[in-house]
Amino acid sequence: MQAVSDEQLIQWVAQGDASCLGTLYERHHKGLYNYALRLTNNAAHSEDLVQELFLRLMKKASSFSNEASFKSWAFHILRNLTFDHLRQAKRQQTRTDADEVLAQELVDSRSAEQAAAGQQDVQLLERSLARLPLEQRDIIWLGRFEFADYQSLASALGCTPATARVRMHRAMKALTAVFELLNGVVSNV
Amino acid sequence: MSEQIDNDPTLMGDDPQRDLWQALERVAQVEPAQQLRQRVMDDIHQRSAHANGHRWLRRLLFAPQPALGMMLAAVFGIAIGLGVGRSGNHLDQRMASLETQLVAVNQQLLMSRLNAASPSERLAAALQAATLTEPDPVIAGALLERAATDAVPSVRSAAIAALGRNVNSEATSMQILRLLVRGESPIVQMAIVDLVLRHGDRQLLRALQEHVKATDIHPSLAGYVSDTIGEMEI
Repeated sequence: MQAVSDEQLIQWVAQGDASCLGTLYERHHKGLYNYALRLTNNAAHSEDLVQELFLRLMKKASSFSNEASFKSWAFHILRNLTFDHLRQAKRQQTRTDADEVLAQELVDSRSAEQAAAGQQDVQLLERSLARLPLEQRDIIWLGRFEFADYQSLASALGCTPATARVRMHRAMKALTAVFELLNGVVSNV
Repeated sequence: MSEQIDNDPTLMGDDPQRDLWQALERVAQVEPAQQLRQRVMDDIHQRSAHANGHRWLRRLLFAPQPALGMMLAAVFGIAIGLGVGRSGNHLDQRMASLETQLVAVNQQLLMSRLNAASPSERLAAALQAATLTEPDPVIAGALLERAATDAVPSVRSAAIAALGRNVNSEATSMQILRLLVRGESPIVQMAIVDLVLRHGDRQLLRALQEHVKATDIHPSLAGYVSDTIGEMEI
């Protein structure tokens, strides 16, 4: 049971009770951290981003309006922070597109313990997800783990529900294609 | 009502895509490092103390009534301290005396803020009271009064939390349990339960258990109390 809603808590933060942010942290830190981690692929940067997010929430609490849920609002701010961070770090430039390296990684990762097909599939799926463009990883992660409907997903992304739906379809198609491609690479080595 | 993503026919129409969507469920989520919690909490505390510090300065310099009272109290305390300093021969005695006076001045300032007209001022005072390391019956009395009578639930809740270990005194424990009634704000009810579970001695925990059975507080909260006390094996 959540006796007090997230929206009520952030209103109290706006009125000066910063301690309510502690409750919001306990409720949402795991989802927020995993989202940042999925986009940055870096644990230390993801922690910094979540820390920065809570400072922003404290500063911007009075600008929260009940048009969207607190959760959508928080993810939207974290999304902007993460995209800015990635732009600055130009992390995407460091991505390698050498398929041989990837294939080798996949072969190396097939240890005896991981031979079970299911586990291998999940690993492959994670690798497929990691190879998608940032915007597609972003929408798939939010849609699969954080928001159950297009309205709240759209609020987090800052677009309309119809746009979120179209983007989600494209992203899932891309994920399926990459997964099948990598699956083929693994099967042929 | 907005469309559920899981029910989207275009997303789920194609078999491999649907399987992949379902397989995503198995991708593991991890807990961040424990230090992150501490970092965020430190940040919140520092920034809010900083913000309150600015407000405090503004209030002291520009607000007419309460600030003037506080300033006079501080000047009075320092003047007494200096007076004692001149007449005493031993440095230790002077220091001890000054410390006592400082405690008294701080107590007056805190009492003044706890009774301020502004809810945010009272809330800040209750949060400050929670940081006191020594039990102070005068402050505890004022906190109890805030907890019982303040019009703002967040002030009542903060005052309850600030009581800390003072809750075990007989007068406080009886009064605090009387505040736990169904009509009270949920956040205040939770603060009372949390206070007793954290700081209550065996006797108070038993009293809480009995009180919860006898009153019709929210069933979820009653269940939480019962389970937690059950786990403690008092």
